[in-house]
Amino acid sequence: MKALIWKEWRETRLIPAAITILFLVTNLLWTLIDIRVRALYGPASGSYTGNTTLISAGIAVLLGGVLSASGAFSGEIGAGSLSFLTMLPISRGRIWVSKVIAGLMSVFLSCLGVGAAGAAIFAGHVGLLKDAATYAPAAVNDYLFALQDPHIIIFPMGIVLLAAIGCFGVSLMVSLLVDRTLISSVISIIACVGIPFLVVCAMSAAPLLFSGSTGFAGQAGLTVLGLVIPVFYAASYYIFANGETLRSSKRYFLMGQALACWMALNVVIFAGCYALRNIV
Amino acid sequence: MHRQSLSLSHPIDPSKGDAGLLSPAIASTPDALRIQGLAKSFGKTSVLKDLDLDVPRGSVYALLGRNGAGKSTLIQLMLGILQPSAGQIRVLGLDPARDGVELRQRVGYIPERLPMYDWMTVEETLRFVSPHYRNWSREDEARLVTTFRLDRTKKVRELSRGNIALLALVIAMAHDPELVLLDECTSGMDAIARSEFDRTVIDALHGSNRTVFFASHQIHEIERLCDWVGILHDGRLLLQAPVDTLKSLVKMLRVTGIDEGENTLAQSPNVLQARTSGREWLITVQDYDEMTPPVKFFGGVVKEAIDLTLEEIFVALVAKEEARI
Repeated sequence: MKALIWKEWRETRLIPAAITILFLVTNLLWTLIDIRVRALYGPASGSYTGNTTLISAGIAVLLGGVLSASGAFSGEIGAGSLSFLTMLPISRGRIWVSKVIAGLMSVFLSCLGVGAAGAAIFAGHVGLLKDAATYAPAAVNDYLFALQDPHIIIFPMGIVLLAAIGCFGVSLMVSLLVDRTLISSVISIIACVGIPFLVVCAMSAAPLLFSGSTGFAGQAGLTVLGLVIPVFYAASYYIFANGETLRSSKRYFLMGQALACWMALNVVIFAGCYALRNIV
Repeated sequence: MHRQSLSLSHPIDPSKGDAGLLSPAIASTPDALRIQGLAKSFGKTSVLKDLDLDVPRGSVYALLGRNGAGKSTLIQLMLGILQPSAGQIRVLGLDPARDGVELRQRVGYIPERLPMYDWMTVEETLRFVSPHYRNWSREDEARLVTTFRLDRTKKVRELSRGNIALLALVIAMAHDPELVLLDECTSGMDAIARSEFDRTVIDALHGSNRTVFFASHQIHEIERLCDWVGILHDGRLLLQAPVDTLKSLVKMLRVTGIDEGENTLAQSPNVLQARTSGREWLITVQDYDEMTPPVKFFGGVVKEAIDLTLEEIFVALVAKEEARI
């Protein structure tokens, strides 16, 4: 297993660094543009705020989640090297686990890298946009104060990390269905935006379908929402374990099976919550 | 124990279960490979159809077939990489679908194209692969790497096609496999590299008492290596036989004085091919008996019985089968 994880890590190790650099460069450019805009049109006209840093950090970490998985299988299917792995005396379960471990390491490191860079940018930005001589020490003080109250950072970072782990799961499944990493990345990004949107729409629509007894719908919706991430991990494992060469259309059939099971599970959860609505 | 011969009265007819005309069941040792009624389909495409095949332990078996005959699919089924649509496979007594991991511990496999990680060096590739084999021998690995003159520091992307195949051979051999599967592993190599690879394989396997299973369409190269041959055509096994037996049964007769037309001769079940050469006929037959060589054939006089290469026999058998269909 160590050798497998080492191999996977060698293939994904640049992603955290790339994501951190991308985040830094984007923020730096935006800051420079912002300084110019403020100089030209006055201090109130700037668009770059502390929230911008936080939002871009969130997007960067989510992107890290997507990119850490989008090439996990598609790159190997495209290059044919998956057949090299499957001819070795290794179970498919081990191969899948090694890819997930290395990929999640990459997600965590992306999160750490972006978090560290974001904290530095945030502190620097606050100092830079005010009068540096007067306010920079105060800004650093604010930053240190924030660190004394960890939940201010840990809670949003935890949410973002969880979302990134979810994006990783979605991307992992997509990478089994596509032979090219770039296409896999694009589809994964679309899926990572589209799937939460669909879930939220479904959760919003559920109470409308059961007017008069909306309490259970919220409960069922939350249960379903909580299962979204594990479902994609389970589906990717199912497709990989049963997909033979993973070059045939069988993989799409397996994905259909996995999604059908998922839909059936949703129905069972909603039906169960509906049946228990008066008891709970 | 049964042993049938390629018989004039017994034309090749896979639909009648003739696959296994000459069964290796004559071997006293248990089979390294036993396949019964194997079928494999990809969607609506049927690649293997009701295949029966036996490979005795310790034999060097060549599975011949045209491109797309199903050889690589068969090997992937034997390794448990693919799952059969129907039928049974036992490799070294194990079911590949259920015991694939254990089976691959005991089998060395060199596929047609081995897409190793091109960013790894030879050393890294060996260190990546070796922990997965419980019988991996660093001494054997070192000996093979030295014999093949592989540079451990070179990246896989810098290796020639022939050296990649040799690296695959190190991976296939360093864990002392009981069965070695070679799947068209010299295709894409130039003649010199092919020749070197073949010589290396012969040296590596010489006296090892391993079972070796070749799948190839480059027949002349494996003719001198193998002692059993099977011919796969359109997903079915046309026949399997010891090479010597097959070569003694299939001969080309040089005949004079035949009045029959080519079509009449070709329709005879025991005639694989017939063509004129000047005033003579060159007729490939599949039931030649060396003990009682024919003097007359279709009213003509048999002047000579010519030995055929395995490649010529393969071409004649496949042509006959295609004409039959």
